[in-house]
Amino acid sequence: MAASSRSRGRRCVLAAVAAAGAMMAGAAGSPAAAQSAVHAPGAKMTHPADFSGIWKVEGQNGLRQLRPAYKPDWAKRYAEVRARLAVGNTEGDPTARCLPPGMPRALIFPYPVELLMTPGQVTVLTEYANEVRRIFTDGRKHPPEDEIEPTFRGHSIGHWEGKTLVADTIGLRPDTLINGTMAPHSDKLRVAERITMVGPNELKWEVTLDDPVAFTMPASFTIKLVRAAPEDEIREYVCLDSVPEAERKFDKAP
Amino acid sequence: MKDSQKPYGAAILAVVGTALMAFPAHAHHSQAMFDQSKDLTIEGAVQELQWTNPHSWLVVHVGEPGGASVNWQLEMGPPGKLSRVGMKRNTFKPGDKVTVRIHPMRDGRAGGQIVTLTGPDGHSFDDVR
Repeated sequence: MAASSRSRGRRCVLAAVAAAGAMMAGAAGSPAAAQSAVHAPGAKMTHPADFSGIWKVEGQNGLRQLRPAYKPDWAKRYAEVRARLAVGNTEGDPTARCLPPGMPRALIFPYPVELLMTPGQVTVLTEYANEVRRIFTDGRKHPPEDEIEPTFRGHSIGHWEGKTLVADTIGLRPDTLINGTMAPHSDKLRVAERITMVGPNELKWEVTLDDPVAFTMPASFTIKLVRAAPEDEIREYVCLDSVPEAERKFDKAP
Repeated sequence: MKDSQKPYGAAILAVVGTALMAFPAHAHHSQAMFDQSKDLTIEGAVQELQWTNPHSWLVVHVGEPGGASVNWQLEMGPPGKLSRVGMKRNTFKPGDKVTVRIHPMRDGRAGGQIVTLTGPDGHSFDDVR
């Protein structure tokens, strides 16, 4: 493991040096040369479609309203948290404590995302909660299942099928939720995404969730991203900035 | 999708309705503390606009001559939400007279969630949560 990490590290350094060199060469030449230098340093690094830019997420209702088909014990657990939520108890919702929503719930929020395409990687910067998600397209595999460290965003690898980016994410924390209805999942949740440009200004983002521990069958939904206005910038979103409701000095209503 | 929901039947539909009404997408704390079934209109003077994540808060002072003086703590969405409906951090200044329609807090504290915010120039913001 250590040896392979080291060699992976070395490969990354070499790739970075090559990319930097290529970019410097490109800077001296035409913009077109810079573009091809960034996008084509090697077969694995090529992105057949360019998603880069700032996008607005639309049509998330399929995820917001998603009710996975749960196995009985998970259905019971889901019913219990929903009953607590109905009376205002958000215990178990990481976002109520300003923790990141994690995948796939990060796709729900109505704030822009910025997509970056660099050699071997597609990066998703989400305004909401300042999250950074890396989809590795350099051919690497997921870490072995018994070594993977559950995280909010999970471990994402991707490959291209034609002009569709096909991403696979595992290693998700079981204390995150699928959506605001408190839909739970286990640490065996797998998020499969197919991202396709359906015009210069629109991305189709198809998602299938499977959780062999919690679900009786996979659940799918599709969201849409449209290009944000040129003047729209990604804003900073540091969650713990407000005076929390618990510390706020409230007067008594007249 | 539809098939997967069948076993839950009517119970699910009821829950969907409740969840959509009471819990907008970015509920950092439960929206249940605001009574979504009640509307209250407040007229007062801006004391402070707290332009912060995950929620912005407008503190509005209501003082009646010889009567009670109350500061209302009124919640809105984050700057990223408000800026995209045209509000800026300096749109509301201390002393500005505002009219605010809110869903008040359930527990009798002087607070609420802003539904519509109308400034001294008569412009209304109605998508601020």
